[in-house]
Amino acid sequence: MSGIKTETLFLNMGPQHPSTHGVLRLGLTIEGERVVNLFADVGFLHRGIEKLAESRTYLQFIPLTDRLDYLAAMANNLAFVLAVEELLEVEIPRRADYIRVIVAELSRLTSHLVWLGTFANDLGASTPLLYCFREREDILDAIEILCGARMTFNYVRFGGVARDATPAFVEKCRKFLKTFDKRVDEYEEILTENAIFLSRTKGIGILSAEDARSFAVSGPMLRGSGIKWDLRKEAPYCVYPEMDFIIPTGTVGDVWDRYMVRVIEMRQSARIIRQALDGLPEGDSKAKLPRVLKPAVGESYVRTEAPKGELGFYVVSDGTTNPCRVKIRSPSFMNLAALATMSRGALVADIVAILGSVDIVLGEVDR
Amino acid sequence: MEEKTAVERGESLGPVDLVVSRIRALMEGLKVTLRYLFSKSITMKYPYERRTLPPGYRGLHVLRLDIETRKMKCIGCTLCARACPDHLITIETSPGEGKKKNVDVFDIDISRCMFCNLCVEACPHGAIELSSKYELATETREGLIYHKEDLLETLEGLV
Amino acid sequence: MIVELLKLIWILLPQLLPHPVYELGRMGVAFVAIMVFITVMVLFMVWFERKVIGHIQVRIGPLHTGRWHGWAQTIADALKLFLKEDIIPRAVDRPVYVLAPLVVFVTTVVVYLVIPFSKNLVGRDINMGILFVFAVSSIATIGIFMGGWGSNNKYSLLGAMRVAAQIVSYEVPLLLSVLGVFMLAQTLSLKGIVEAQHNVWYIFLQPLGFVIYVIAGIAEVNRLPFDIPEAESELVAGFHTEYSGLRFAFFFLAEYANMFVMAAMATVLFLGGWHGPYLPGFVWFILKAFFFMFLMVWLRGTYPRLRVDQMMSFCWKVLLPLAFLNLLVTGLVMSFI
Repeated sequence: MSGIKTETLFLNMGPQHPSTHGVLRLGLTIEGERVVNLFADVGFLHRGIEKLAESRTYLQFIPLTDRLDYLAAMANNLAFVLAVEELLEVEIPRRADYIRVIVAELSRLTSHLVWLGTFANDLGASTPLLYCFREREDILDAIEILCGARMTFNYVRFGGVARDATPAFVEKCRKFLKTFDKRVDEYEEILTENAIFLSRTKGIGILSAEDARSFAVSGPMLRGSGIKWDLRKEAPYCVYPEMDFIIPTGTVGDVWDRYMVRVIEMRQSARIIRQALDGLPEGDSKAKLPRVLKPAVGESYVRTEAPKGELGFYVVSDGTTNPCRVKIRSPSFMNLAALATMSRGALVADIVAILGSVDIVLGEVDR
Repeated sequence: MEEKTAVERGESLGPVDLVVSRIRALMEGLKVTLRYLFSKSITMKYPYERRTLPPGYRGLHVLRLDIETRKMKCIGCTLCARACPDHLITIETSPGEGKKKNVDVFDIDISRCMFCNLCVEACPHGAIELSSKYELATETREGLIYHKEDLLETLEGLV
Repeated sequence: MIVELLKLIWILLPQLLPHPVYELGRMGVAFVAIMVFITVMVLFMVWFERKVIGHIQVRIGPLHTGRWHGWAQTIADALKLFLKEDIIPRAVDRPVYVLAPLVVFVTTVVVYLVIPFSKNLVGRDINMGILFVFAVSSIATIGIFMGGWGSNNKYSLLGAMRVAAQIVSYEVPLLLSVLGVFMLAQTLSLKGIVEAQHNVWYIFLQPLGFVIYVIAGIAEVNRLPFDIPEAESELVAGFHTEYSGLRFAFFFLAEYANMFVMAAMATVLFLGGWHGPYLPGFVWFILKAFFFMFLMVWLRGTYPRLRVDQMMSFCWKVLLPLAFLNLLVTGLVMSFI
């Protein structure tokens, strides 16, 4: 058998591909059907957001943060605003904190819904995609009542939020939450115990706990590998300490575990939103701040639990109206680095499933 | 996670139970889709049906008129132009009566506008707002630059 | 009065004309009728699938073309395909490339001649009907492979090889499940099998055989969950990438015609063909066949797809032993009755 010469084949899962969720180029080195090596060629969506920060004021940069993880824009707004507020010494009214938590969890729902729909679609089940987008429409309708926009919100402000939450918003949220748990049950009925889905996801793309730690993955990927780490409990911000929710963790770290973690997280997010709506206090929605904002000289780093993982903003201020440097620690970029380890030895057809379970958004990866 | 997931993984089920539960799960998926087959679809038949937009929707800019004087509320302070992240608002003024300024040119280039609302928040008089007009496609690039006359609120809008 | 006259002519015609002329004429009429039927059926089926999948996905399917629920959508799509420029890439293997759609289409259509749509509506009832159907529809595999080879495209060839492997593998449990029916009916003629079910349909006598036939049939037609070759989200592009316009229309037509053949065979073999109360036999046949078509569309809207190796191992390690088991049990039961 040693007389047969075999070669590995290099294959491009090119920038344009229905399943790479954006402009991502994966270079696969395959031997037959098995992937020997994989590298991710990123940068096709690089827009220089961090550099743009240096020529914008702090307030003007907030709309730009929307465009990072554009499926969950509020989370980005929130992380940046929290980072700058460390340099500002302002007290946030409690009502604003509650509204921030509500919109952050709504963003988590929109992100996970898109993830679920596109993940199922990549595997061939095209119906959950439409169901998830129907839920997303309801959420976006609610946020539209709140701030007027459906995808790039520019809503969280220094000192609070831009507009107050009206009773119409609260009522729309409650209406949405009434049917949401049943809808998640439906998604699970179609997918979770489906024999075909299980055979496509069980045991595929295993990421061990040590690998997860060494690659600095975060979010559902980390929890899927069995490490119970959620920044909403470990380093809480806003009013998360007052919220009651569980952190789901997986056991093996395969694609199915990450899928289950995100589905349970969706239910927990609905739970948090319900609690926040019930406990929404009266008061201001924004603290008074000077019109021309000049934070104290210094640097701050704040990390939040964005839907995709740990989103961190490192802001360096030199006392002027523009930040000196903004560095974004984006979860998708870090999580993508673990893709090669997860897919070694997998079949080409599994790469699609594994990439779907990493849940990347190219806006965040490339910034 | 709850113990439920161990059962779903099939680790604690005997072989016959496993097969039965898998087949049952397959049938349940079919039941869900069958139920949806016979229920109403949620498609909105645009452009025959349109959504009612909530107040505060961020669409095309509009320059508000003062109710009494029927003139633009805008005083040409250029705060909105300075607030815009991409410097899309062009304002040119000339001296008017007394200390006031006449606003000659007020252009907004919506080909790059994010509709971020910062210009509205910056305006001290509520002279510029974002209306609920969202069908903004044009056939020329120049059509995407809105001038003062295009942005003025129409008199029918005033009560 | 005119009806009586036509009936008289119908009975007398075989005696009046010389036998070969009559047979040829009959086949000609049957062929034209089948082509019309296939065209109408495919037009309806594509629209039906888009509507059903749309409603499963809480949306409407086609709506505007033809005013009423978009019924003319398929006609519009077919016209578009016909009017497209006929592109033949320069580096293709011309004879193979050109013949592939024809091979696939012709082998699928010829099979319709032996399918009994009702007691008297058969093109030609051959006494080895089952054999003919499965033998001729297997030749379509050659056509698919020709398409992949002739395209001179690495990925088309890979896709074509996968399709060929899938079809050839799933034919084994398919035929084994049909053997049970053959043993019960003691005849290979399709009309004979339907007539043998006048007391009880074979689905009740051969439930396992029915299930195996349906699953293997869906795999034969490359429908979800077995549609790896057509999946756009996988890497390989599929054997019909280099085809456009009328040639692609032939592949597309052949796929839906093949779907109907599988559905019709399931009706004939297990659901008692044209038997049924009140309505004419032809109507019952169409209704039963459409149940299977609906089933295929329903499955497409629900399930994810299997990976290639999972599909193959399911065929050889699950379906094949079950088919053998079915055969064994049928034989044992029959030898004791």
